[in-house]
Amino acid sequence: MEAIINLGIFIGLLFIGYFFGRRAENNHYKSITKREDELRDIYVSSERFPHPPFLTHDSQLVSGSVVISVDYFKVIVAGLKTLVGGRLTAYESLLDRARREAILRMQQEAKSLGAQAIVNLKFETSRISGNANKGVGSIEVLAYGTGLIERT
Amino acid sequence: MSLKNPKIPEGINASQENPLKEFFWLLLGVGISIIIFVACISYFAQVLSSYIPFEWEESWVSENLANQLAKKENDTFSTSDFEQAQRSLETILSGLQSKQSTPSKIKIHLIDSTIPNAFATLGGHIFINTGLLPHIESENGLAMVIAHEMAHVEHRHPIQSLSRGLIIQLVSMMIFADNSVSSMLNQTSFLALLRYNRQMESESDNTALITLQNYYGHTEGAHEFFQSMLNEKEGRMSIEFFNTHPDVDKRIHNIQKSMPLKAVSLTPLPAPLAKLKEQASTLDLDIID
Repeated sequence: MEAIINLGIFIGLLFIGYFFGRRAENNHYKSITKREDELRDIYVSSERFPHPPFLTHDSQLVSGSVVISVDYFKVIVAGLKTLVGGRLTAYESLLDRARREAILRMQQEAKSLGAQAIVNLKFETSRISGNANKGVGSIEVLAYGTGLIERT
Repeated sequence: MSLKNPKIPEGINASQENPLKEFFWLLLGVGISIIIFVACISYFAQVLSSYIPFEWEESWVSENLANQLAKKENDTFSTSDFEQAQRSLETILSGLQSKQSTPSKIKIHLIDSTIPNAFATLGGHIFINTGLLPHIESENGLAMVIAHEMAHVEHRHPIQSLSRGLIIQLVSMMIFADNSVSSMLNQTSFLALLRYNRQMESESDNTALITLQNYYGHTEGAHEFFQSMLNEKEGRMSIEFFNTHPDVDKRIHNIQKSMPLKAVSLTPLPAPLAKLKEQASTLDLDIID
């Protein structure tokens, strides 16, 4: 009886994780592609030095950071995957979203400062919470770079 | 000057595939491996456990523990009646054992319980519920039940099914990440692990029939208990019995095949047991009504 209840809770959590996690991911991707189109002219590059036309610009640090949580479904799929190995696609999409969202927030900040381009883009990734339970709780991605603002 | 970020194609860094597909493949693969693993390990547990010395079993389940299990102080019957019935059971047991080539050390216990059942457990302890008595007519019927449980002990079925049950429980705890192995051993469901499969039951039936044949010279009356249980299948008392004993029809059929064609006389129940049976019968009716 206890086993049946536990199994029921497990399947319920799995369902909630799949349903809401999937919905959040789809909505997030839609929003990401939409905003990427909007911010396409804030040029982002990982080069250390600006292109010659930007050499006379003012520079300022811009950053964007995002924290995204995994859902229960992803944890279970990844847990099963760790038994056999291979691509952890469940987490790949999570990190992909986080990186792109971080860039978008950084671009947003640059835009509000009046910057035209960002150079020297760098990423930091860390996981926060969930360390106690061996699982990945949620991840933080920080994107930062040098915003180039035209002198007036 | 105006530079623009290019549009990056989707589906390179993140897979576009529905995660459910991956999930079900993984579940299927891992599930099948676990089933194969458990099947192999429980098979070996069953085979190897036959080599555990019988003395070890006896030291695990001591006479004291068995008496506690049997709850010797009965509330329903008078003490002297109960003790005499117990002694009659022992007489039947030793009679049956005298016809065996290598008699094992078997202890028989009468339990005051309305549930019609009998079972054999570790250390060669056989338990007979008083609720079983109203379901048999003759000593032959009772001897069949005893011989059947004796055969379980003889074939080492209790230790085999215990080993298998423990292994399966251990694996399930590993899978569900529960580390309380000690709680598993303390569980009161210890006896619930002792479920015999069909093969064990029919093996014991066959051995029991041979024992009866040797002792009485015939196997008439051996099916009394099963027949009685089958006749009142709808009864409340027998639900548990049929859950744990499948294929009763088939077993009766097997027993009847071995019975003699010409009529033979049955041995009546010993007086103390007959007395207890009478008392238990009235009790049985009270509860069912």
